Amino acid sequence: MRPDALVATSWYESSARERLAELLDPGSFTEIIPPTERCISPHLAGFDLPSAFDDGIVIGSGRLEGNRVLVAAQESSFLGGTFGEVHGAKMIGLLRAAAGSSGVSAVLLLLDTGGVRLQEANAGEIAVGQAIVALLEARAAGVPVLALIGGRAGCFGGGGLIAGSCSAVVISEQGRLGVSGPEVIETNRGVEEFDARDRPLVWRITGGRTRRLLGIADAYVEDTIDAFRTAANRLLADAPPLDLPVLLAEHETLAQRLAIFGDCRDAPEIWQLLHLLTAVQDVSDAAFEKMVAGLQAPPDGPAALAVASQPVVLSEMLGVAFDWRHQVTIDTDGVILGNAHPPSGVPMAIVGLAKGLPLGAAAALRLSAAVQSVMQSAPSQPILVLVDTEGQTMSRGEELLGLSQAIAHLAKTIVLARLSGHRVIALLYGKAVAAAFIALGLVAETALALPKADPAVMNLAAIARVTKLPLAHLESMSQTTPVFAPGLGPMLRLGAISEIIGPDINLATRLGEIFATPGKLVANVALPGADLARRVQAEASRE
Amino acid sequence: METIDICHSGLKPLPGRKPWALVGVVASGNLEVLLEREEGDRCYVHIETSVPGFATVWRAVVEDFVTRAAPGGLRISINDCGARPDTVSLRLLQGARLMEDAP
Amino acid sequence: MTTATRKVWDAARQDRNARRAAGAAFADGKLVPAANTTALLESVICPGDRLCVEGDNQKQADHLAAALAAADPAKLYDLHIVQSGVVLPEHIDLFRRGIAKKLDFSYSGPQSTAIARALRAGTIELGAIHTYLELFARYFVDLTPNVALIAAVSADREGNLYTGANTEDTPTIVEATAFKNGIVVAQVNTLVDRVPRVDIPADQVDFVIVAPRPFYVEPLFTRDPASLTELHVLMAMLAIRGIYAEYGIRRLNHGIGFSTAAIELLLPTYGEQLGLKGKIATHWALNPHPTLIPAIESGWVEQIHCFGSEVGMQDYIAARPDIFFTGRDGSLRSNRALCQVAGLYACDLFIGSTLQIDLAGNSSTVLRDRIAGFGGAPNMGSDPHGRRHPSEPWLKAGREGASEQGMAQGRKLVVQMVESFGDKMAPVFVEELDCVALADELKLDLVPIMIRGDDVTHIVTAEGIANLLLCRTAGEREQAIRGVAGYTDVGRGRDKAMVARLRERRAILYPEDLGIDVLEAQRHLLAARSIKDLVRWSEGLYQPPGKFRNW
Repeated sequence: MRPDALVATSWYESSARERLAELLDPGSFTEIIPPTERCISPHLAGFDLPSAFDDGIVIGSGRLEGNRVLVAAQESSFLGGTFGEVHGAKMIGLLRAAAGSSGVSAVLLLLDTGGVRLQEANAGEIAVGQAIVALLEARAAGVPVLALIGGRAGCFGGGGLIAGSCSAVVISEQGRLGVSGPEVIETNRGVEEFDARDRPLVWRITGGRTRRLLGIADAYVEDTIDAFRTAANRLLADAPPLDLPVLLAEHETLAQRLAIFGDCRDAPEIWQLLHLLTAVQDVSDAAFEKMVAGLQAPPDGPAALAVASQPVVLSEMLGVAFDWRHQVTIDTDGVILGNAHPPSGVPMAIVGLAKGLPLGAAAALRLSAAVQSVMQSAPSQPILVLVDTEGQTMSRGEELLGLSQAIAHLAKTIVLARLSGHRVIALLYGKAVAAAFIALGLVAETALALPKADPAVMNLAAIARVTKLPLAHLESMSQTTPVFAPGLGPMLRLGAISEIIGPDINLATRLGEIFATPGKLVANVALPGADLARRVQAEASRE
Repeated sequence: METIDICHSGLKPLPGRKPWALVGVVASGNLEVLLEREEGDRCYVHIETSVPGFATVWRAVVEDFVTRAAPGGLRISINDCGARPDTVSLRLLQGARLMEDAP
Repeated sequence: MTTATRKVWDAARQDRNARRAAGAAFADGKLVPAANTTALLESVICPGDRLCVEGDNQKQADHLAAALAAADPAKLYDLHIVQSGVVLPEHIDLFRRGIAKKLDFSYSGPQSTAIARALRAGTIELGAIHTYLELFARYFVDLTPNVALIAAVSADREGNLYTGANTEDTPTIVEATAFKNGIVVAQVNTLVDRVPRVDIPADQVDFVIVAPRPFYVEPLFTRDPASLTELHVLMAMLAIRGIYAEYGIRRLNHGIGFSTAAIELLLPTYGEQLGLKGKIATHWALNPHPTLIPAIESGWVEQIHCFGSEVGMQDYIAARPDIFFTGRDGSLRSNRALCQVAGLYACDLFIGSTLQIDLAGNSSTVLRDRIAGFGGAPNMGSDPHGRRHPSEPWLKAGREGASEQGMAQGRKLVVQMVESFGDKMAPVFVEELDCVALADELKLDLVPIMIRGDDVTHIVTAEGIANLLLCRTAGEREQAIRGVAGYTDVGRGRDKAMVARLRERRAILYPEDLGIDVLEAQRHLLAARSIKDLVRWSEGLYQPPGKFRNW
């Protein structure tokens, strides 16, 4: 018998434009910066790659059940739906419009992305950070933002953090959600850690059903545009606000999940702990929904074990003079917690990641808890985020449990602290890579750096592998174009870092000055795509 | 990347009133075709392709399209990622059909 | 007569008995521990032997192949490999290490580049590239194996074998070897008390080895509907309307390929709209293609005989015994030799794809640096002059192809369905096939043509259909081919006036000549657009292998 699903339009199979056309009320979609504007990536030609007239993202406004919504849909057929300068600016402008204009009832993000576009990696990385900030501002202004995930590229890298920042996530069986894609983990950690060609394994770790079972997605739908629309409407009806109580509750949930499932390396171990008797991938969509509805709460996990930590002297750790009195500790995961006291004025909270260690879920949660506690106990206290990390932890187990959500939780906490009146400034003094760089550095008000800091999205050798371009070619290109080259110089030129604090400047004194003069640093910065983002914001704000 | 420009003139106007249409996506073996209405009896085609060396084939495909669809007053812009000529031909026809729809 | 000159009539049997005795040192009865495999092979195989290491196009005796490749080249050398599929790296290792010298085969697939290289380097002395049926035939005439190394799913202690759904070549290989004084060694996945059914009786099997891993089966016949394009849909519409409906094809074979998969998926939709159910595509010689599931489920298909099986189709087949050939145990029984015969003599149409076609309609899958072999396509893709039973499609094709006078005779429909450009914009239509230069370079006696131009009746492309039956001269054939060759150099070199005349005579049919609007060729016409859809059609019985899943 002809299956019913075949009569409806598959989300997975549809293009970004087809998804929008059928998701919104018929004929209601108006595109912003349509293809006729030829707003293409200025960087791809340098890599001898074809451009797309919409740079792989369709944005605009439309109506959902009569309500005005703003929408952005990524087209994964074009360069994996990746974030480049133009692509990112379109999403940022749209999200800023949501925060600033009345009459927008929600934003729908149809995410279908492998993450940051390596050919314009720095611009993409900065854009993800900016998008997260704009998204959370929209939520804080009472406009819910939904992530709809069920396309070919899934939702990885910065896309995973954006999804984790949304009010709710809708996912289908085909949908995948994570930070490090399976190929990236296999490349970095070996095929034993994650065999990216084992497709059933890939879906057990990152796929829609696992995401729904763990509560990382809020709705699981059949792979039809209709089903996504129905779920979106349902979730919009009671989308959670963005405030401290919501974040504290989410923290509790994430901590419980780690405690209960922390040792799991594959989905069947989770099914067992959830008392599910049948293999989850073998049941129908309808049976799976029943399964989710009937989930028994797993037993409470053990309380998190205390992590050994020891005091540290900042001048030794940073390698520069730091003459304020401070109490700072580092634990075995590299998590930095503490505070510093200027000779006069309010003390400054210090959090961060040290020793170049990777950011895993446990560390992200401890950092979030520290910031949340500052928000509860010391309103408007400035926060300094110290950054020396090689990026997110690349492991199958971390991805299984939703590392994207844990890192997004940290980003949300930092942004909410900013929105609640805390000055939050990052100081890069070592490595700063990928998702950890976004969550600790790029969502802060601004980032400062010591001369030895070495930020990167990915190193050139890895970019050469992925883009299949000769390393020598990339090295020579990186001399002239800051948009993808790793290192401090390019990030400074692009505005992701506002200032390098040289050896002749007293760090503590300079920090004191910066915290005393709100907004001055960022005012001078022109991020890539800033003009375009402003234009989009203006157009999307028009009713 | 190779750029190819082709222009045919003295064509009957393409029916319909839709100001522009986009078909296809820039993905391996595929292309996007942007069609825009403009004044006059010309059909102007601008192609950017990642596979150089096939200008003759592009000209032949466009010539057939012009014969079949009579697309006067049309500016066509193509981003190609190695689509085969049959695919190009199909996308052009699909685009012309879309332009004939109501705006 | 003195005893000194008395002719010995059972030397080969005595030799076999001696080999069996030598092998017994490594065995417990017929059972040989896996660790002894190489030693056993060194004891039962002699230098210069003809040897079949069962390599079918799906199932591989991979454990035995690896053990043989590990043999001492001082003990085993100059072997003559006679097997249909040379697809494992170990098969090539045999030649590289000097264990084997000569090769007679049918199909190489993934090793096609390595074989071309070895032929150039002289490490392989080529007997011939055969079709399956030719090689099987020669097993019984002049290429009878001395030793056959085969693969089965399970064995009992007596040595009865259960091959499971992938029976493939096994009965043919064993028949030739066991009944002509040869030794048969089987690798099995498991040893059981009682096999589900006896595919090979114990008295045709000399040694049994439980392999450390189940034998490898490649899912060769699965085409993901997600990869089908509008152009595949268009070509499928052309074929259904211009050939299947036109001739009323009920008995047929499909090659592997995306455009034939598109035909299978259009039967329950487009075919249904045209009212063709029951009138076309009812009886098949075909592997169990997952893309045929919607047509089966919609009641289009009456029966299917299979060359081999397909990974993941076992439960589905077992639940559809009215359609498939199954054993008393319920599982599929395939047989490559018999299904090839069925394809050759009992089908009215073969439709398949190829990599190159020349101006005479000759086609080849050999490219400059690859020798892929023929498999079964030339058997099914040829007009069997020995056919004597009539059928309506066969007679109609015969009438179209007949010259003015002469006795009425039928004609098999042999259809090539291709996109005019292949990978990396390589044109499929060419003035000269690459295999011509290759044959010259390698000094082959025969140019490895897959399907000969004089056997081809139709060529289908996205541009249209060339009906070569209606062409009367070589010049007309050439222009009919150019007339559907799209934007290739060959296509653009057409004589437009002659193409127009051929079109008037319906020797060339374009979509509009068949009432097909090119823009109607859309993916939503496909009865399944993803592997998941096929699973749904099968009510969960089809279990696709991991590489085809996205859930």
